[in-house]
Amino acid sequence: MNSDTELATKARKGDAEAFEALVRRYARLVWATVAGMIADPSWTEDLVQETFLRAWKSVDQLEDAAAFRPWVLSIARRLVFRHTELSRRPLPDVDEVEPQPKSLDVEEARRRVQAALQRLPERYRLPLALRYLNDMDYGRISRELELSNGALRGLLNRGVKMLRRELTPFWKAQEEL
Amino acid sequence: MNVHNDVENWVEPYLTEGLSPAEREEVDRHMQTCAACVTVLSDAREFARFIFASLESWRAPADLEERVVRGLRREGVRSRRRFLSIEKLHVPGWTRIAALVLLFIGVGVLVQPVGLYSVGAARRAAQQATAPREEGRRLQERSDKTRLGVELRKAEEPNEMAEAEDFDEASRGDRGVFKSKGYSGGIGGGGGGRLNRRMPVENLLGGKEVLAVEKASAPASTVAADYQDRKIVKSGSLDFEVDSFENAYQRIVEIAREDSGFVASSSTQKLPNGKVRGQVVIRVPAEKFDAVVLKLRALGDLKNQSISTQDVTKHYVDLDSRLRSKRTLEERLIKILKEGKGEIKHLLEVERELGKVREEIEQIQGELKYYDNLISLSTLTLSLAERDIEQPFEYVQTLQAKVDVTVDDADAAYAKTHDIVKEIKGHILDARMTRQQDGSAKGFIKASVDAEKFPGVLEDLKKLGTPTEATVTQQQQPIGGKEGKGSPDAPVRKEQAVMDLTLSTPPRVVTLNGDVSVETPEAAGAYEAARKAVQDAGGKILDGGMTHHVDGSSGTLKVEVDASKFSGLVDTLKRLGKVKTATVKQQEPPKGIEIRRELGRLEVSVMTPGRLVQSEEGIGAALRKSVRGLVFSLQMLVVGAAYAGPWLLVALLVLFLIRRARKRRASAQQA
Repeated sequence: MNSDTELATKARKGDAEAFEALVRRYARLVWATVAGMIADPSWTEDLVQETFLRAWKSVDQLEDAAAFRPWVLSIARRLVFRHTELSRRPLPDVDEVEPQPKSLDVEEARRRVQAALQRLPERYRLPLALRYLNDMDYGRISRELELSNGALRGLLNRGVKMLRRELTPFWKAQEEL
Repeated sequence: MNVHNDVENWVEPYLTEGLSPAEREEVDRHMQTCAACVTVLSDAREFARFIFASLESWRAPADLEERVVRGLRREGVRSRRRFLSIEKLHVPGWTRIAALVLLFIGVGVLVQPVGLYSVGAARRAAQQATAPREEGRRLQERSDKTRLGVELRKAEEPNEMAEAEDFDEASRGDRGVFKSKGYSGGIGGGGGGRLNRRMPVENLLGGKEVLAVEKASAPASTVAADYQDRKIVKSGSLDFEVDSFENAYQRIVEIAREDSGFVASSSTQKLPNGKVRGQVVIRVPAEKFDAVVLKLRALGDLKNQSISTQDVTKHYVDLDSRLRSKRTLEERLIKILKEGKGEIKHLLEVERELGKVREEIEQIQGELKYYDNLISLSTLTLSLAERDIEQPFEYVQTLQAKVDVTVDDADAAYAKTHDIVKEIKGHILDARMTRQQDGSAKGFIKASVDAEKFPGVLEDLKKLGTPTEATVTQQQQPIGGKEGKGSPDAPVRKEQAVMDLTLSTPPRVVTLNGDVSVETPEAAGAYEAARKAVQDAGGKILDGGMTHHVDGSSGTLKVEVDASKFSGLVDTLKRLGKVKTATVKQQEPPKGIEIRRELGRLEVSVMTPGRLVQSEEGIGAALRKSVRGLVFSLQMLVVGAAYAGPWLLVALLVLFLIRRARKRRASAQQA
């Protein structure tokens, strides 16, 4: 099994198969990153694709083959910024929306949860996004993010705590329905 | 870990398979007996479920990886060799050859002079990119072998501007008016006269000689004599004196446009005497240069003209040949890379070289373009200066007035002046108000009005009050004409009149002082009535107010009113109730002030009888007084006690101690 570094080196030389293998490996991580930054989920897949397309086009400029992951994530982030600027989609501000416990709006729920997620700093957001959006378990997450057991535990715990703090009133209201 | 106390920390890992088997066992065991932790866990599970449910629409599809890969393939992500972009398309063999052939033809079009290089020359070119001379010689050898060629020998001295062929203008594509001459080696291939479009470069990649030279139409010998075209940059500068800059400028624009030129830049400057001078730079096609200069002569008085031409052929030609040899080098390098033989290190170097060469090519192309521009469009710099137009002789009349008016109300007069000036469309140059200590005010207004309207304005201003001064000075000054000489009958131009207006209010002097107090069952009503009376009399309330006591109310007013209205006001006030006091004193005004405003000051008080009854009379009052006195002394007592207290305590303590000591002594004695 090729290591990521090997794959990246090959991809750099123009080997599309190696690049595809990298794509498979990092698609979900990019998904989680992108989803954590935009307001409208319907764009996520496009942005993920676009990220990898750009990555392919400029893969020969990848200087350090061992740093493929941060490199492709930075491409993703830049793309999202441009996308956000172009489409001018502001992130929904939860504070401005009065809790309406009577409504069963799933869209509403998504927006709130998403907004709460996006307000977290990235190091908390990413593990949570991988968990909730990609159904990854602990082991997979720690591999994807290259974090130690203890570190990930701390991040997840704190992340969930923060989420709960923000969402509990809304959640409880929903529960009562 | 203490499972129970750490519940917050293991709940999430538990739900995400993040606990080690040992840890998990411990937790499971604990939960069998701890309902609280079970609740926490199920709560966390609920929350997670809530999140999952909410984000359902956002989850990545199960086949995300496949989809992305498919999408990428659709967008054309395929394996490729890094350096060669030609082979991106995998097309059947024959189309590839056809494509290459077309490519060669295209390249040939662009590098026409290179047309007759053979493979060998190309190889050598890679090693001798900067030796045009060599190339020339080599070409000469070659040319002998080709069907073209007498002319080539003339290109023996590479840098001499020998007559040579003319290349098809059109074939130059973006080079505009390109007429080449006597190149070094590069041209050599041009040989016999016109080289046609269909001159392909040889096949560098396959080593085949694809020389499809199409025969020139004209025999070689005639070519030499025909073309004297060199690369000339023409420019000129013309100085004009014009009547009007604007008109001249418009005309320039017209002229430039007529001959397919344009205005490149212009700048103007307005001189202190109002005249405009400026520069206009226009660019016109080189061939129209002379015609345009002729047309421009009509703009005005031509004071200066200089035309220059600069022959840049040599430089241009040098550039061109450098370009061509670099291109050859480029192709050579590409070939090496394509073959890919040799060490990576070597190939990387070649690649770097290629980058450098490409940069140099672009640079040279840039320079050539720059020259092409200069050559094809000549530059004309036109300096225009407006003539001094003679001023006709005339007299200029200026009016100046100083007016002082004493008014009753400075503010009103000030405002009125503004209105007057505005009405006749004059301008207020300066205006301010000052207020004096004694309450009087002064207003200063400087205005400029039309000389015609001036007398009228003066009258209006005088009517504002009592004028104390009104001086008007008139001045006539001759200007213009030749050396200031002119006839007395010359026209008189009346300029604006400037007015300095001072509005002052007379100092105010209080000559009357009065005191009125009335008793009335309804103090508030009387108070209001008093105020109204004051206002009706045009007086000013300086101070006043109502006070309400438990046993009644009273109101006081301090009033200032014109002396003339004084007695009338006093009478009105006296009628408000039962008069308790009404005194009026008259004062002599200080000497020396002639105009003044005489004022009277009044103190008015109204009160309800209740209060009066509560003056210091009656048993109740006496009682109350004594009570007050008692209360007061009691208060004093308390205060005294507060101060005396600590001292008392000290004294008591001392006594106590003395007694104790005595007792002890006594008992000691007894014992």
